[in-house]
Amino acid sequence: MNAPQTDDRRFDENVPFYVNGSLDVQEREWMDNHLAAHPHKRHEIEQAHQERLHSQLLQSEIPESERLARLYRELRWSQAPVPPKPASPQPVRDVLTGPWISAVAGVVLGGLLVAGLGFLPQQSTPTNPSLERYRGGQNDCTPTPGIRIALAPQVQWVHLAQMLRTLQLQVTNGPNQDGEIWVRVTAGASAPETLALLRNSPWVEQAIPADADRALGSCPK
Amino acid sequence: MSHLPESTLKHLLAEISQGNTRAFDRIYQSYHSDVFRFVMHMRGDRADADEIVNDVFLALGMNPLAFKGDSSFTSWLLGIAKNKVYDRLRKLGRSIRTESMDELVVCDKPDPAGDVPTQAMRLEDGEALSHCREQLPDVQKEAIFWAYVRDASMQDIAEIQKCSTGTVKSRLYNARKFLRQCIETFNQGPQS
Repeated sequence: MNAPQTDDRRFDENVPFYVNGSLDVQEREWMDNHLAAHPHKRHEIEQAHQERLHSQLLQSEIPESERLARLYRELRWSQAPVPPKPASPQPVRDVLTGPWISAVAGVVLGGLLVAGLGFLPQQSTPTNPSLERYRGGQNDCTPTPGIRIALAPQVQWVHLAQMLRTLQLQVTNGPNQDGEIWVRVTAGASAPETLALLRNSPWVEQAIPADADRALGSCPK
Repeated sequence: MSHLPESTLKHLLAEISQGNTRAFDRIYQSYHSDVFRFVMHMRGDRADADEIVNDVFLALGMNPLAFKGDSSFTSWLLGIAKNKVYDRLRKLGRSIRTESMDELVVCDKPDPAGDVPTQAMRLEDGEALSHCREQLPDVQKEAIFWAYVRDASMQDIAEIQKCSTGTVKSRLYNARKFLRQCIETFNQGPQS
């Protein structure tokens, strides 16, 4: 339909795009001027805001867990193989249950007994990373990609915690006075994918690969 | 949750085809809201919307590699949703009005099934808007969805709906005009 373009019509047609912020600068300025000249039309903007808000607040009243459970049932995924998780540091208790630990412990204790208190033989120098962790070295210093994140000013701790948990990131430095943090990507996770997700986040102003030293933080040399 | 980059999506879809339920969860969590809102725009009934959205993700879970990347993933998913809405309407014996009309006749009864208290409750919940929106032609409902839920520009909507920006503006203009009249009638209560 080609209606004659009057100011009223132009205003009405622009309203949805005025409230969603997608109007170009020229049309936006025209709308602002038109509203200044016709203040009674502000109620139309308000109404459109309400319509938009209503559209954006629509959500299911069924909990997500129930919806997903139903889908799993219908897809017969209850017996689906659990996908392999990304490699993560081996828990201490796994190290303890390893059959080789008896042999290592035997050698260490034997050395202590033979050499006496205060003397540690050569074999006590750790060579096995799992054993090193078991001995209290909690940092996983496997070289993993680091990322520097400049956080948006409105970010709160809860947002940060949620982001770190969702993307399985480990903070290695920061935040500094500029709202920057350095994180490490969990071993096995894709750094490009993590970067892409961070850059899509409304809480992140900038996410760029960081230099390894800063990202690795307190890893021993 | 924001939408996923294309490379991530392809990776996740491939993972779903291998039975990786975590990949499915991630796509579900990223897109469920939009699909639900789209379906609610097309068919303003919550119970139906939940059923339809379930069917959409069921289709995705059964054949995740059906997405070939010819369009955006959102458009593809909403295309499935639209077909599911039509399937549902056909089952219910309802007619499907896909073409735009310059002038719509405003319903003279707010809701044939609702008494005054029910209508008042629905108004409070914003259901008046849903009720009126459901009577719009589908192309107008879709235009509203893209403008208000996805904050799309008129050029974006024109591309999605394969029409001119002038048509998009007209669709939204007519839709909003109808909604205003319909909600006004709705607020007046049943006509005796």
